[in-house]
Amino acid sequence: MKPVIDIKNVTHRFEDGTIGIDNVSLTVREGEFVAVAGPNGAGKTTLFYHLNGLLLPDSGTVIVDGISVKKHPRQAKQLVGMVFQDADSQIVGETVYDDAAFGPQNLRLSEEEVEKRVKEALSTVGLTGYEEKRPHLLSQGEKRKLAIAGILAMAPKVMVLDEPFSNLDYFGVTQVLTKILELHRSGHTILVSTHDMEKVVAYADRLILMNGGKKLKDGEPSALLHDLEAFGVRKPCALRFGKEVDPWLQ
Amino acid sequence: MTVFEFRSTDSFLHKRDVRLKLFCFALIAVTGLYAGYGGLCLLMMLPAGFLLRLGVPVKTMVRELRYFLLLLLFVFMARALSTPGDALISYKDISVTREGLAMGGMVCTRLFLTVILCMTLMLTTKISRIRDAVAWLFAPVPLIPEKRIATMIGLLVRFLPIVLRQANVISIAQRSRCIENRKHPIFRIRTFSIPFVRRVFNTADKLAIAMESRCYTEGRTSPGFSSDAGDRMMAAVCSVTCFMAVYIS
Repeated sequence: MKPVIDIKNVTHRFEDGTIGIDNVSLTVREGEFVAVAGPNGAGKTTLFYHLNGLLLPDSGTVIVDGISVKKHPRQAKQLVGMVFQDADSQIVGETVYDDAAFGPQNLRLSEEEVEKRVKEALSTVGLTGYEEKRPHLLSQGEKRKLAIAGILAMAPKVMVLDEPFSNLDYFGVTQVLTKILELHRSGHTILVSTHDMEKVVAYADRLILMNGGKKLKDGEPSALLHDLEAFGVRKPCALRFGKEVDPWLQ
Repeated sequence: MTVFEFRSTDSFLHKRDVRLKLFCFALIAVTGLYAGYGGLCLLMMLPAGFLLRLGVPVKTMVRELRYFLLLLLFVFMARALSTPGDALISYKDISVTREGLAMGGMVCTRLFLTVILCMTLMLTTKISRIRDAVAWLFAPVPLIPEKRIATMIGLLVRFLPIVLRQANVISIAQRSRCIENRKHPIFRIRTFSIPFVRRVFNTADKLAIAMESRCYTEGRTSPGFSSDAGDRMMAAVCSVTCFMAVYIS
């Protein structure tokens, strides 16, 4: 598989002098499912913002599908769809349909194409029939699915999900995780940030551990699971009892 | 669901071109200013007929409009008591005049007509279509960024419930810590408004980032408008009714 994300020596310093990410290099191949874990302030969200062109690096390069994010931020935003931690702030449409159509309309697609993509995206996340609903009346799980549909309608190559399970109940987590896995199976490259490894560890191809803006470990999840707590991430419960970590959806 | 919320059905008004619908409703509202009682009743028949046809229960309408109806009662009483003319009932210096009753009834009927026109518009038209029609109407006006205005209308509608919920959460959190015991209004306003404004700005920041991540541009795809024979019929019926309303008044 060819690399779809290529980050080389990226450093980002915020205006107040705080280091967001520090000399991070990373390559993600097409179709990979990558979990990025670390405590609050580890630099996960800052790293994700660089993939989408929301932040530009002070030094280093970010290449997405062969395109420099710095030179072509607009194309990067279309290639890398980002689902934010707070779905309420991401949803901008007055109705479910309007929100899913927001991205394609910004890409200046024809009305027919916008409609086609919105229908497909809503159907993929299981929100068909919700088109005229007001987003604030949806459950948290449905809002998260709508946020995913809004990104899917832009046909991105990579889906970046920042803490997709936060504030969700058991049913909501099940819904969202099922959709993420379906998207992965359909060929999307997935990056998920989380500090709750239990939910994704059995599905991820790779685990990246971050802290203090640095990439500290990068490898197969099974190889890194025992080190998690040294990096401020809780070990899955099963490991404490000396058992294997079961897939969360079982 | 309230009576001021879009209802997805397939009625005649739902299918109409929103630009013409806005024009017709504005025409009826303006005609109402010049029409007498007979004319107002004639004008009222159009939106009232559509509301009944849409199956909106009268009870629900009355319940949703109860505060507005109270306001109308207040306006009616104020007019009846303050307009000079032939006194029908007098008590000390206060008198209810025939002219006052007539004037109060007229003002209230006009206000009521405007409200049920708005109700009909909201029930039969998506907010996004009204927003697009507003952008279309502003497009020829120089120095007015119509797309930005349309986006702002959309965001206002989307974020009003969120802002209200945030206000409610802050209020509950403060009540849980006995804010009621502090009687000083300035203290209470200050302790409420600082976290509230901070949260609103924080939400606005997040929203701006989310919009940018989805390639927001003012040159985005605009929905098209088209009108057909039904729209022309609606405009004709509306114009004739308005003409007759003025004529019989």
